[in-house]
Amino acid sequence: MIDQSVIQELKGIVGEDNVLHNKADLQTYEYDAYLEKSLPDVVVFVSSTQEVSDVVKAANRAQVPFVARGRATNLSGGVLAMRQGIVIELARMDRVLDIDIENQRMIVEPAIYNLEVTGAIDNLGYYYAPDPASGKACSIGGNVGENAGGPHCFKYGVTSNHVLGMEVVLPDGEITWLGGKALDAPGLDLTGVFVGSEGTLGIATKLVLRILHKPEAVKTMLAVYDSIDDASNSVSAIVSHKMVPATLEMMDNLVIQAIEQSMAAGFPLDAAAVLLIELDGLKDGMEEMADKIVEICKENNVREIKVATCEAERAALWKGRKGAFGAIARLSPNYLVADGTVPRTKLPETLRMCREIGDKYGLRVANVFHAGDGNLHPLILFDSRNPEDKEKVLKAGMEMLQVCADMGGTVSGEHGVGIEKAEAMYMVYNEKDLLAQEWVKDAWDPQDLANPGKILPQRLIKREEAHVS
Amino acid sequence: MSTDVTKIEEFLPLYDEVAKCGKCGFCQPTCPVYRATGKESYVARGKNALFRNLIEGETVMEADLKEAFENCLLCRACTANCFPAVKTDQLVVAFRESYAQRFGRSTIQRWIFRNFLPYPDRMARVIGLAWLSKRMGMADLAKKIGIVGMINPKLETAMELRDEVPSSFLRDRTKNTDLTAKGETKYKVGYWVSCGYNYMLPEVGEATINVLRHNGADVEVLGNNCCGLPVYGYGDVDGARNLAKKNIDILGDLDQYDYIVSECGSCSGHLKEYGELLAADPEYSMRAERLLAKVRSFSELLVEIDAEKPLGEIQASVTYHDPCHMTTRYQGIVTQPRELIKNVPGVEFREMTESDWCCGAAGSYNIMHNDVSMKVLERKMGNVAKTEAEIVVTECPSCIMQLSLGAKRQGMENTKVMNVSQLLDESYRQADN
Amino acid sequence: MSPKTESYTAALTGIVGKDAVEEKPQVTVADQSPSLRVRPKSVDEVGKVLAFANENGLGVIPTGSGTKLEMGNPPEKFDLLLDLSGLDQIVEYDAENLTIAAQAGVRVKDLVELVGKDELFFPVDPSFPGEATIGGVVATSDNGPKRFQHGNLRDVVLGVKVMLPNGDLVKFGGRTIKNVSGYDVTKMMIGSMGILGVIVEATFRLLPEPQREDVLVHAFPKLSEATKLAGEVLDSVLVPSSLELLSPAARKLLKGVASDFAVGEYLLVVGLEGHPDAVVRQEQDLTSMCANLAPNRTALVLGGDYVAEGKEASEREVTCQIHDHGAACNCETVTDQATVDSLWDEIYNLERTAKEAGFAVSAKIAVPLARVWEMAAAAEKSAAANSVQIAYKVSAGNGLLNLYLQGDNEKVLAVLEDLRTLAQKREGSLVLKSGPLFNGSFDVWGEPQGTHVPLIKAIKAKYDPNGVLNVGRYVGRI
Repeated sequence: MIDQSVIQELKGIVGEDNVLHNKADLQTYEYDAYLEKSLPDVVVFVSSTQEVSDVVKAANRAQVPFVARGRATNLSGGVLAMRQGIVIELARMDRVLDIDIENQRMIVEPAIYNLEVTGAIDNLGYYYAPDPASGKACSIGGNVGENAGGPHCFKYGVTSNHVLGMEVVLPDGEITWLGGKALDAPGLDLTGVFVGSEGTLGIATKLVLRILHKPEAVKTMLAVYDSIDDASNSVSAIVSHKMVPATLEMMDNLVIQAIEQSMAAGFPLDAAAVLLIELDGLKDGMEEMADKIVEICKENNVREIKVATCEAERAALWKGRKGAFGAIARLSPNYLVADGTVPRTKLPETLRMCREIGDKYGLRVANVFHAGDGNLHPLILFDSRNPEDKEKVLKAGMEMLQVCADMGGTVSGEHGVGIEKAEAMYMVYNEKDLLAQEWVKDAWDPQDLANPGKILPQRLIKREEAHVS
Repeated sequence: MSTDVTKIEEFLPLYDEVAKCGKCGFCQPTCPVYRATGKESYVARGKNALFRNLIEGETVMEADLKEAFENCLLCRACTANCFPAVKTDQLVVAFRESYAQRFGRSTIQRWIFRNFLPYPDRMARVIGLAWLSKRMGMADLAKKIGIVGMINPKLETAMELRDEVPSSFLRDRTKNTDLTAKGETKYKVGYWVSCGYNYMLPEVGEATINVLRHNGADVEVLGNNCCGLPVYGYGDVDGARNLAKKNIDILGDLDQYDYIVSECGSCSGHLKEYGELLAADPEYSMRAERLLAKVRSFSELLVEIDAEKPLGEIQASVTYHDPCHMTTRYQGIVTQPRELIKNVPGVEFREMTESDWCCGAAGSYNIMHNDVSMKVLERKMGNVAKTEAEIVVTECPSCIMQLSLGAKRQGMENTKVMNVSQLLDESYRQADN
Repeated sequence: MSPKTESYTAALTGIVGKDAVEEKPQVTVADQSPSLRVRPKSVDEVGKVLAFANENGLGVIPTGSGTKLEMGNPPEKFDLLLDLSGLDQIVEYDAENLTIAAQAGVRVKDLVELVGKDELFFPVDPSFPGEATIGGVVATSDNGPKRFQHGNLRDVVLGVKVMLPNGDLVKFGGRTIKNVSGYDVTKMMIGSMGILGVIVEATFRLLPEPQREDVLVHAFPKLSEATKLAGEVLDSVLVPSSLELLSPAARKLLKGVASDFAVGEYLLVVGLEGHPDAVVRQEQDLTSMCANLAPNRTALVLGGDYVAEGKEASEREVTCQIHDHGAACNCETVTDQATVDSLWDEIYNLERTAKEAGFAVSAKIAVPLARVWEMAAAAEKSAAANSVQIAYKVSAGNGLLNLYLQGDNEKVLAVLEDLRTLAQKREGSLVLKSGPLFNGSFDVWGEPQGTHVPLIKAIKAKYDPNGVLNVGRYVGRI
């Protein structure tokens, strides 16, 4: 348990009302969107970089671990306080600080919602490219922590390609800037390492984002297939025809059925796969490219293909994809979203093996995935009230990651490692590789106070030690 | 008082509901209270977690939990944005009910629920007294009495806000006046008297009745009690059931009305939910279903009967605020009020960002948690200001009062807040003159 | 030769063989020469050589073809030049999945040619592609004009294998676009100038070759006009792949197709890639933007090898549509890919051509996009004030300014210091890429901004605890 004097000190920094430590409050900070829990000792609401720094310094003095928390939508246990201690709640640091169109940059505070970043510049004709499916609910700070992706990453890259600098409170409380509005700052790309470090290297308090001019035109298509292989082959053929669509999203039969049950998007119930394709860029040549894609899909035995001719039709084609997670949520009380990546051509085989794993455990597995970049999301359905189910789901999830690793892919595409996949790191890295990663953590946080017990399997805090409830 | 409970048995029927919560966090951005505070225990995900912990014995019913469940506007924005659509408002009411049963309600609250709400004449007397004291420059005294606030906090807020005190209640005003249709009688309409309009904003009710009469309705002012929504919101579900039954009894033979209408979104919305509220009562649930067939919100009815196009010109920019109970989250009367507004000649309609975002009034909320309520209101007023509209139209007395307060606080003196019926009434009147 | 060096020679010969060890090689870095050059032929040999150096505390500088060997502060110790040109294998080329893994010594040009056979495109276009090796490109994070569209090294390198000073081979990242498995050490290795380990292999993302590639060259007598056009392009829906401006002195260094065009003026070189219709449309838009800005300007249009389907090469569409767009613009058109490529090649080799023409100093300024024009103007002014000759190239889409200076050392130094101060005021930096080191008084990297020297030191101490790799050459003289 944390010493009362620390709590008093924290109250001195942020004010009495901004420190929570009764059990009822704490129980609302013991989870994220993953399946485990761990109760922190105290939650501190901060509203400025200075407060973050002061709190971190207090944590250092008391040698109490801390974890930064934004919207806590992450899927791998990234913000669970595994060694208890202080939750630094950033929710109130959610402002836009600078919109700098001529330099195509924006500076925001970490807790701003992903979609609200684009919302703030939409009327100026600009947008922020990384678009995780949870964009409405997740924060940019969290995106930075996890190096989040999204449907548009095939063309535009992930969070780390769009975050160019940040103000950071280092694990000892020092405030510093890494990167900035200009490119190519001399020195190691510390910004690059920080992105995806899941709060284990400090707390970002301001973020410099690259913003892009909105594309002139968008063309959306939806193709229905009788086999996943045909759909996958279409994706490969599109790319080999020199086209780089912004989006190549696929959904499998179980997802199709779920969507049809919940919203009737017009997918045939017996279809094996639905592929959503979106081109963006200049309007010139787009029709021709769309025609070519239709032709390619036909060559690959597409059952039917629709091309949106207006914004309303585009929305209709996206409707199924956007509602996919919701539809699955209606099939079963809970689901685990697995997240692995394979070289694109290995998708059909990987999916088959994932399905077999599901069958082996008697679990239903639905698949929504970013086909362009080989990032699959098997959704394993279960009821978290049943502990046996939960164990099976965790096992199945790990086996699916092993498949991804065996296929030459990796064990986390965009959801981070957290506690969920720390053990899975051994599937892609050996001890030496992991030691070299640990040096980064050691150099930044020799006291191991910033979100301890994450990412590295050698640092994983075991259930029994962690008092995970 | 019992605190020895480890598992809350009465929550078990809601276990399936709460177990659907996958903690994805999509409720956060849409929860007005969360957006104002950032506190996880104030958002659906936090409440769901605590509620589940109660069921699973991970926590016990205790005073610390109360704050979490008090901080809910019952606006249902969470459910509307939830993939499995967890009905967190039901959990909140169940908690409030259970908490009150275990720890008791404050004596005065219980006394009011039992002794005032079901007795309109007593209500009228207390509120009349309060208005009187305000007229005599004793507003503070009235506030100190506190009863008005307990009965319905918005009434108290309105009293503070309102510079000129209404000279009489709506019921009194409508007593000896002509309520028959202007021209040919096409419908018989039962006019449901909402507390807010009756005691605080009688002129709205008069406008509504006028518009109804203009459209061929013989109006009967119903002798109803409070609809019971505030009581339900407090978690006194039994009390709410009693009020519902009593109201059904008072309305008597429903066949005598073509429609029962209210220009209070909360009343019309809650009347439509009587069926669910009384589901366990075979006799009343049937009667509630029959009531449902007759109940209309004001805008809904006017569009349904294809109201006469208003001809009087009103040169003004107008925006519309959707009261929670009018949104798709409750009644789903969204297009109708806009249609009515746009129909008024001269009006330039400007859609507001987050038009269906709760204004923060929500039952007892703006009294019990005034600071948060005011933050919720600030967001709303910010969106109102962005439209630069001269008039904010809505269809709920609580919203009218809260938005008026907001306009005053933000120094938007020139922004008028009114009911849809008032806008139409004004146009009709202008054309008549 | 000292007995110590002899024993080193013997030991290293034992590892890599006699022909791979050269004593007293003719190589200097900041006037220092190593005792030995070692050229391992395998990753395994690299490991053994490094481990040996590590045990014996030898100062090691890794190199590929040596094109960027000059970058950095003077080394604190320099015993061994680790020549990686022998690591010249393509490790795994997966055309279908658009990835390629290659060893450090593979030349960029060879890689470009290899993937070009499958109509794929290597999205990195560094200086000196003919010699530059991918290891050096990654270690220095050197990239070119097309970076505007395709991103920098950090955006296209998917993973690296690094030989640590202790002889352990470790891998970071992988071969998929999305990869968040663990710390993104790959990013940290890119541009690390070999201070943490020796990059022996890198995996890159490839792209489909563009259907058509054209280059549009606009000439302007005034910098301000070019500035305006570039600003307009950046704030439009157009998506050029590159947007480079050459100063009159820099364009004078070009010998090929653009040499006779609008002599004496600034050249804005706009690369356009993609669907043929989109390329033509952008040419039209750019030309009208240009015409609106400065009537009667001329443009040079270089069309790549694109033949519309169903047509013979002789019927090749040329971008003469531009002519329809207004008499305001006079266009010359040249149409073959070789010409396009040759212009790029000249630009890629500009630093060398400049050096040959006497511009001994090369520096790079990075500032927020829109500030780059102020820096260009300031550079002209400062050079004039100090009687220093200046040629430069602006990468407008990235906020970069490459400077080539000639003049008295002291005066050049004054210009550099002047510009560094101005760049830092604009949250940017000035890095000296090559040239005299002014007796070590001028820190090549500058006072660090946007980085954290104690952290870099701490990281260095973990990876290279004995201090053998590129010691003293990095930011903060690490």
